[in-house]
Amino acid sequence: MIVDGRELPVGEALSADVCVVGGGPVGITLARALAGAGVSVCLLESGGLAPDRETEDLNRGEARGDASRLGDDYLTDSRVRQLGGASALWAGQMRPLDFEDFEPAPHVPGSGWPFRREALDPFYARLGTSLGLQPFDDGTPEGDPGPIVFRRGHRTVVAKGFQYNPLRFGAVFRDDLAADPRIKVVLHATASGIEPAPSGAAVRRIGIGVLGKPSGLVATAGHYVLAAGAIENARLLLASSAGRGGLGNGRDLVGRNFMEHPHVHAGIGMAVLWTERLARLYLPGGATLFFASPAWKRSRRMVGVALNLVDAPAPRDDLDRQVALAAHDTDAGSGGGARESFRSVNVQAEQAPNPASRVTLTGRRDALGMPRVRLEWRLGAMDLDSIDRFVRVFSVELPRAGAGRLKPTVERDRLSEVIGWGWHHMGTTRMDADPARGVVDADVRVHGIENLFVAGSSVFPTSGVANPTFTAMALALRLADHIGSLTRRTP
Amino acid sequence: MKRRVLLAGAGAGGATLAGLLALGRKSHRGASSLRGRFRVPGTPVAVGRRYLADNPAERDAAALRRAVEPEAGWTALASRMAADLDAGRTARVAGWVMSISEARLYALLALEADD
Repeated sequence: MIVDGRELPVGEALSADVCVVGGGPVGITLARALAGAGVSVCLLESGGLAPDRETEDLNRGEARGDASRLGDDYLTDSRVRQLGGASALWAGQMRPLDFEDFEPAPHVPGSGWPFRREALDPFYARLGTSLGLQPFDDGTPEGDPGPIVFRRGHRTVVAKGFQYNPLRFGAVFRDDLAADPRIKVVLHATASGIEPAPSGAAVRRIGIGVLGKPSGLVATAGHYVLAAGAIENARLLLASSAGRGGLGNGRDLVGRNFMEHPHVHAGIGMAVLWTERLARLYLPGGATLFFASPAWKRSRRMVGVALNLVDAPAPRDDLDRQVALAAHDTDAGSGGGARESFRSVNVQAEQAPNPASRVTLTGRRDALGMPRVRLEWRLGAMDLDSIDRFVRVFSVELPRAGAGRLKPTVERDRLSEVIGWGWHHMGTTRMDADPARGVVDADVRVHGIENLFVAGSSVFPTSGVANPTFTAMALALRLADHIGSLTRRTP
Repeated sequence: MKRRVLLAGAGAGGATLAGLLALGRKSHRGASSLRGRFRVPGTPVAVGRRYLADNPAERDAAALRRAVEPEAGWTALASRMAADLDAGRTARVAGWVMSISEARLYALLALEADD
C-alpha cells in the first residue's frame, strides 16, 4: 500500500520486518525483492509522487572541490526526492562493473572489493532479465578483456557495451507497490535520525520528519536499510548520535571516499566506416565505449577510462573539415566507405578512492532540523593523469589503425577547469571486511551494528567506469537474499 | 568469437596499411602528382599551409622533399607514416594528431602549390 506521511496520526509507530529508507531504484528493487521473499517492508520516501519545492529544499547544501565548475547546485540538480528517486533524472545507461573492478590494484590505495565479480553475476543476470537487457560480453576473469579494438604491447583498448532502459521506477512500479500487501510505502516521510539501542550495537528505531507539522512518527523493524543515495546515507549516519561523531563512524570513515565519474568533452573525432560498424555492432539500441584494458591500467598506474564517440555535426572550422577530407584520402579511404563522419569525443572515467573527498555536515539546518551537508569532491593526480594519457594514446592509435582521427581539445594542466560529472554519487560508506577500512562489511551491514545495512553505490569501495545504478540494484538483490535468510532464521 | 577476431585484425593496423598499399599500386612520382590522389586537391594544401604557419622553420621544399621522399610512391610513404605513428613521431595540425610524415607531405604540397 502507499500512504501519505502527512496524513498519519502524530506519533504513529510504523512497523515491519524491514524498514528501507529511500524509494529510489535501489530502495524499490530491494523492497520488491524482500516482499517477494515473504518479508514485510516499510519503505520511507522523503518526497511524494512528483517533486515539490519544499521537499527539494532538503537537498540544499554546500558543494566545492577540484572541479572548477562545481557549485552548490550540484546537490540539488543531481538528486530528486520523489518515489522513484534519481530514476526520474537518468538515461538508464547500464552495464556491470568489470572483473578487474572487484580486484585490488596495487597502484590504487583502497581498491579491492570483499568479493569477486562472480559473486554478483547471478544478481546481475536476474536484474538484467527483469529489465529486458541482453547478456553483456565482458570477457572472462582469467584475462580475456573482451572485444579488442587496438592492441600494442600493454596499450590495449577494449570495446564494452552499454544498454539502456530508462525506467521511471516511481511511475512504473507505483501500482505494484500499492497492491503489494507486504509493502507499505510512506510518502513525505523523511528519515531524520537513527536511534540506536542503549548498547549501541543495534538500531532501535528511525525517527521520521514530516514537513509542515510535528510528526512524532517512528519506524521500528527487525532490520533497517539505508538506501537514500551516497550523500544522504552519509548525512543520516553522521547526523545520528551526533555527539559521538555519528553512527557507525567509530573510525571516522563515514562520508569519506566520495567518488564521482569525471566526465570530459575531450575533443573531436573523425571515424571511418569500420569504426562506425564497431560502434553499432555491440547491441542494437546500445552504445559501445572504448576502455583501457586491465593490463594497460596496471602497467601505467591508471584508473579506468573510457571514450564514448558520439555522432556530431561537422565542425564549423573549415580547416577541421579540410584535415578530415585529406585524412580520408590518405588513410581512411582504405575503410571502403570513407565519408565525413565526425564524433564528439567524451570521456567517462573512474576516480581512485580519496579519503579527503568527502561529505560532512554544516552548522546550518534544514526545515526538519537536519544538518545540511557539505560536499568536497577531491580528485587525485592519478585520476587526471589517466584521462590525459588515454586520450593522448587513443589519438595516435586511431590513425595508426586506419580508424580515423582525433583532435584532443583539452590539456592536462587545464583538465580540472573542464571536468564535469555524471551525477553518480559513490563511496561514502565504503564496504570492506575490515572495520578499520570500511563502514559496512561484505554483507553491507554497518560494522558493529547488527541490524543496520546500507544499500546503493555508497558502499562501492571503487567505482569502475560503468554507471553505478545497475550494480547498486544488483547489490540490493543480493542484500534482499541475505536479509531474507536472516528473517527466516529469526524466531 | 567472429567479432573478436574481426576487431583484433582491424586493430593490428591492417586497415591503414592495406589501404595505403592499394593506393601504392597506382604509382605516382613527385609531390605534385600525389596531389592528384586527393578528391579535393585543395584540402591537403590548406592543411599544409597551417602546418607551415605553425612551423615556419620547415618552410624549405628541398628539406621536406628529402624527408618525405614523394618520388618513392605511396607504398613507401605509407610505411613511413605507419613507422612514425609506431614511434610516436606525430604532429598536431589545427589540433589534429597525425604522423609527422603526413604533415610534411601536406606542407610540401602547399609549398609547391604556392610556388
